Order: sequence, then structure tokens, then C-alpha cells
Amino acid sequence: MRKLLIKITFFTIPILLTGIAIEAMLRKIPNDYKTKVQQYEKHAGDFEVLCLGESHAYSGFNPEYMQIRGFNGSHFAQTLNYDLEILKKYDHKLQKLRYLLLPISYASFTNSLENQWEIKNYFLYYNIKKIHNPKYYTEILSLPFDINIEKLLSYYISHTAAIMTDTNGYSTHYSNPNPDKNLVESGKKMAAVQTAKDYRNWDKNKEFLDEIIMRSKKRGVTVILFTPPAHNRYRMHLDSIQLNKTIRLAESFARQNRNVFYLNFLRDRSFHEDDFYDADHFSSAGAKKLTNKLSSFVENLEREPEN
Amino acid sequence: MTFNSFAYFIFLPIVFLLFQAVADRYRWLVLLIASYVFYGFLLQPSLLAILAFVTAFSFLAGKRIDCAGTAKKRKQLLLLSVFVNLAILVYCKYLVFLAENLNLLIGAFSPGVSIPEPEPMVSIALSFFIFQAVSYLADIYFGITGSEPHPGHFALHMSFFPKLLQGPIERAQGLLPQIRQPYRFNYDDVRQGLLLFAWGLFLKVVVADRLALFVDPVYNNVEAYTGVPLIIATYAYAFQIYFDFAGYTNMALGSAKLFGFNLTQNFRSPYLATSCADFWRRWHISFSRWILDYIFQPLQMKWRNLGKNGTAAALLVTFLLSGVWHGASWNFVIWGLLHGIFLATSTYYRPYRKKLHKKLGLKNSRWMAIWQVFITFNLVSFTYIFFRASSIEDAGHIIANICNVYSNYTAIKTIGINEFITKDILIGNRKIVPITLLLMLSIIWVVYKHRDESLFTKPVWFRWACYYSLFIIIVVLQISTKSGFIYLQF
Repeated sequence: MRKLLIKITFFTIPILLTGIAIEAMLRKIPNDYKTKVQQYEKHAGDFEVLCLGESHAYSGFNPEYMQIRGFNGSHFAQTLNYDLEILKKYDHKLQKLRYLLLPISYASFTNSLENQWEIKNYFLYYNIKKIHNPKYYTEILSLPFDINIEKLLSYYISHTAAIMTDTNGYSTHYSNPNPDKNLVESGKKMAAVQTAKDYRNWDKNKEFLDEIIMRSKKRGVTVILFTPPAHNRYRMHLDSIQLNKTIRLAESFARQNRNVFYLNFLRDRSFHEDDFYDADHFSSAGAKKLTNKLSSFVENLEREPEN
Repeated sequence: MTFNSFAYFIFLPIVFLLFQAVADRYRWLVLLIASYVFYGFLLQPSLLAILAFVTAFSFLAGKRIDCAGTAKKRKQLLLLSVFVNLAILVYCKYLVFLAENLNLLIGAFSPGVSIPEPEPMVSIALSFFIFQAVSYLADIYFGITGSEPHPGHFALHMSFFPKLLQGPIERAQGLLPQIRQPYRFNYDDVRQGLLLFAWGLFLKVVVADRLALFVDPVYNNVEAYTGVPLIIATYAYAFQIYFDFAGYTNMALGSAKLFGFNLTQNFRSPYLATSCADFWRRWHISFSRWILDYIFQPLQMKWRNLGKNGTAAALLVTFLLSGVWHGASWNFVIWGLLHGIFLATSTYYRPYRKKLHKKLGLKNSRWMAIWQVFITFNLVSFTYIFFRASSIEDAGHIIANICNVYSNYTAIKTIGINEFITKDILIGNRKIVPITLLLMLSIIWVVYKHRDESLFTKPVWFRWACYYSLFIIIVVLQISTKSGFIYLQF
């Protein structure tokens, strides 16, 4: 037995050391989550508008076009659960916050980040630990080996890091033209991916949004829920039951809470083909247009006296 | 928790260390608790309850059968206890299927009338441990073994975690004596067990999961394909299912070996079989022996007066039931029936074939053997169409279109053959130079050739090079989109 333990120790030591080295190297690579955490740490006290949510907000809200200081705190596939956790985490720093923008997309109430690799980014960089699975504590175990190697080679050999966010948190990925732009295919594909098989996450997501609204109410923060515009090629494949249920719920939140407003841009005709990166994400022109609309709404709210 | 999950890589060493740490008389208890914890990871309390009930019931029934005074009483007790076990299996696994088909039948005569269909139940491992319970009871009845006096040992025999989910289906006379034996740490056993486990992991996550990349796009969307892609996907599935199940079996055998247990080897180069009968002597050996001993032989004995017709009928019934065991679906029934037909017809033509081969001097001909292997492999692969297809309609589409010579050959590209070939060549967007791939394949070949004990006679540098190489190959070449084990669904 002693011989076995010694041999296993000698066998695993090089593997462990290599694993630790790779983990350390992976964690040093800059990424969007790290970048946004740094922005929160340094500048959260200045944010008057904060936009959370998923890729629709990531591509659609560019704080550069807001009249007041804003920050895009969204991430790819970020769910309401993590929107809430980020708000909780930086609650004490967001002293100047007046407006919270949240996209209510087709899958906002049906999605969950359970068992998704993105969870490790919240573990490692935001220190938000909701699901206790050992693999989420490491970079090396969260993603397939080939992806990790690619990341290492890209950063340490090619000296490129996959940073897709500017200092305002807006995604730079969508600023560049999409070489594979195909609204027909992307619309069909994304609608299929986002159409729920069941509604088991519905109630939980509703609770998360409820808590976000309650917290905002206590802080005197106005919550603006908005359904982003989408191209017809995406809209035509949406399940009407899921879509209508989502919109009705968003409308009910706005009806029942004085600090909540709901804007539905889904069929807004002012958005044309050039405003879209793909069927449900925005190009830089589309982000400017959407942000301007949100900015106008905020300005109107600023002008109107409270009833 | 499956053998290729992170949780199992934590679970197994912990159990091993606890097993080593406790006194010998409590080791069975450590393994028993570990087995229930392992099964509990499925998060299905009902399954744990069923396992416990079947174990307790079969233990008590076995004692009663052993102590029964008369042959009639023994038979009654056997029939009752087997009936209870099989009733549990039918209830948990087949009730939905039966209700659906009953409704189809009722609907044909009385439209609008139907019986309520129950909710489907998770039945992982049920088929395996209930069959094990039935074999225990039958072996006591036939006098092959006596009833186990120690309830804990019997409970471990039923639930031992390396073989719990997908077998092998162990016989009482094989595993129970090993459980009763005092344990002595054996370094070679542990070494062999670890190597077997690693080899099984390689077969599953590198080979079988890679083949699935090719099979799944076709079989999950059969309407989009005709001709060559269907043929390639079917052959690929033949290898996928073999490597998947053989991989699991090696991991099971390796895990058991760590604790000093030798489980039944389930495979013996099945695709080198020269006939369907030979195939079933090499494929899922523990299961085929079970159906041979407990279904085929009793039926053959009962129908012995019918001569070859009796044997043929026994084979048909046996493999029909084998199909049913695999799944509550007409696909599996047809799969089993096809094997039954192949075996049944061979009982008639085999004597003539032997005479013919002898007359033509082909009896020991290598080319004849190759031909027989080729035919057998194709017959088995044909049956896999039903085994893998999602429905009878899909299987029908495949059969109707598999020989379509006018198929669009560019479809081969669309089902990802590029990915299949290059998945192990590309890391990200960079290619591993072919020589590295060749080196990896050479290492795999060396490990395969020495995966039995002969590797341990080699110099230490050679052994450790093989261990590290296998580890690196598994980490680098594993398929990231992991699929479950195929036989877990049975």
C-alpha cells in the first residue's frame, strides 16, 4: 500500500504541477469579466445608469450615447439570477445609480445558467458562487482542453486576448462587420435555441426580477425593462405562447410597480437590416439607435415631475 | 455519477482509501454504503428503495427456497419470487409502453376510449440488478448455489457499484465467494485495475464519443440523408456501441479490481465472430449467458420433442425477450427478433453448411473465416439500424434508402466527416503535425497490446511512458460534448 501511495504521488505530482501552472496562466489572461469587475471596483460610484442582462443588452446598449454616465454590465448568456447577484455585490458602491436597464428578451424567464461553463467566470472573477461544483472553481476544468490550449496559445504566443468589451462595458465584438451575416439562418437558429422546452425556470426568474425591482425601489432606482428590437427573420420563428407570456409578465411588473417602466421595441420599424449584426443582435449602428431611444426615454423621465 | 464524470474521480479514491483503512470485517459495509451513495447520485430515491426492497425480498426468498421441504414448495416459492421481481421490472420499465400500445389497440375498436397512461419512470440499473436477483433465486432452486447467510454480503452482491448501472450481470457463485473472502492488499491488482480503468476511459471519451459525432447527426435527422451517409453512420454506430459498452465494462472491471474483485469479462472481440451464435458468445457475455441459462435452455428442454423446430422456437422467444429487455420500444423488439431469426435459421442450415465446407476443403480456410466474419458483422450492423433509430419510421426510412446509389455524396461532408477526422488533429485552429498523431496512435497500439499483465513485465521507463501517454491522450483527445453511456438507458 505504501509503495502504491508513493508511486501514485510521483505520478500525479507532475500532472498537478502542470495543471496548477496552466491554471495560473489561464487566470492571468485578460477577459471581459475581469475587465468589467475592474470597472465596477474603480468607477461604480459614478454610474448613474446601469444596464445588465445578456447578449442583447451587450450588443444593444452603448453607454457612450447616454447623456448621463452609464455602464453596460451585461455578459453573454447572463441570466436574471446573476443580474441580481451583481446588483447585490455592488449595491454599496452604486451610490449614484438612478436608472437600471434590463432587457426582457424572449428567453429571459425560461433560461437558466445551470451547468453552463459561464458560471466559472462568476465564481472566479465576480466571486459569486451560486452552484457548488468543484469544476467551477477552476479555469482548467470548466472548459474543454482544446479550448484552454487555444486560449493559452493565443495570449502567450500570438499575444491576442479575447477582450470584447470597451471601458463602458459595451461589446466591441459587434462593432465590426459580421463576415458571416445571414439573417435567415441566424434568425431560425437562435429562435430554435431560445425556445423553451418547458417553463420550469419561469417562477424562479420571476422571483429574481421581483427582488431586483424591490431592491431598486428601496434605493430609489427606476427600473426600465425593455424588449430589444429583433429582425423579422428571428421574430417569425418565435413561439407565440412563450413570447406573449414574457411580454405580459413584463407589462405586469410595470403596472404593479411605480418605479418600473416597460418598453417594447420588438417590432420597432425604425430598425433596418444594417442595424443588426445577426437576426437578434445589433451592429454598432443598431446599438447607437437603441441607446438613443433609451436615452430619450430617460431624459423624458427626468423632465416629467413625479405624479 | 457515471464512470467518466469528475465526481467519480473523487468518489473512487475516497472509497478506496476508506476500504483500506477499515478493519477487514467492515470492508463489505464500506462498499455497501458506497454503492448506495453511488446509486443515490442519480437523485431518484425510488430507485434506492426498489434496490433495497429487491435485495431484502430476494434474500429472504432465497432462504425460504433453500429451506423448503418439498420440490413442489421450492418451485412455488421460486415462481412467486421471480414473478415479484419481474413484476417490479415490468411496472417500472414497461408500464408506459404497455399502456400506449393498449390504447392503440382499444382506439382501433373504440375511438375516443383510452386508459390513463402513467408517467414514465427512471429505471436505470433496474434491468441489471433484477436479472441478477432472478439468477440468484434460480441458482438456489437448481441447487447450483446455496442461499447466502450474510444479509450484508448479499446486499453488496446486489448493489456493488462498479457493476450496478450496466452490469456485468454477476452470478452468485462468482461474486459472493469473493465478497466472503478476507481481503489482502495486492499491489498488482490495483495496478491492473487502474490500467483497465484508464483504457476503458480512453475507449469511451476518445473513441466512442468521437464516433457519436458522426452517428448522431444522421440518426437524429434521418430524413435528410440517403445512401452512403446512412451506411457509414450505421457502421460507425456498430463501433460506437462496442467501444462505449466495452469502455464502460473495462472501467467497471478496473474499479472492481482495485478492491480485489474480478468481474466477468463482457466482451471477447465480438466483431471477429464467424456467426451470429459466435457473436453472442462474445458480446455482452454476462447477459447472453443469462438468457442462455434461464430462458433458452429451459425452453429448449421443454420443447425438445420438437427437435430442431423446438430449438428454433426457443431461440426466437429468447431473443424476442432479449429485445424487450433492452427497451420498451418496438425497435428493440424487432432488433431482438432479427437476432432470433438469424439464430433460428442457422439451426437448420448449419449441418449442411458444415458438410459443404468439408467437401470443398474450406473447413479451416482463412478466407472462409474472413468471409464469415464479414457476413456476420454486416448482419449485426443491419440489426443496429433498429437499435439506434429513434422510431420504426426512421428505421424504415434508413432501410428503404440505404442502398440509394444516387445519394448526394457531398452529404458526407455535411454530416461532419471533416470534423470526425480533424477533431483529433486540430487543437483550436492549429494542427497537430501528423507525426504527433502517428506517435499517439502508436502509443495507443502499444498500450492495447499490453493492456493485460504483460505491460508490468516491461522496464519502468516503458511502463511510465505508457501511463503518461495514455493520460495525455485522454485529456487532449477527449470529446468535449460528452454523451452518456449507451447501455445506461437499458
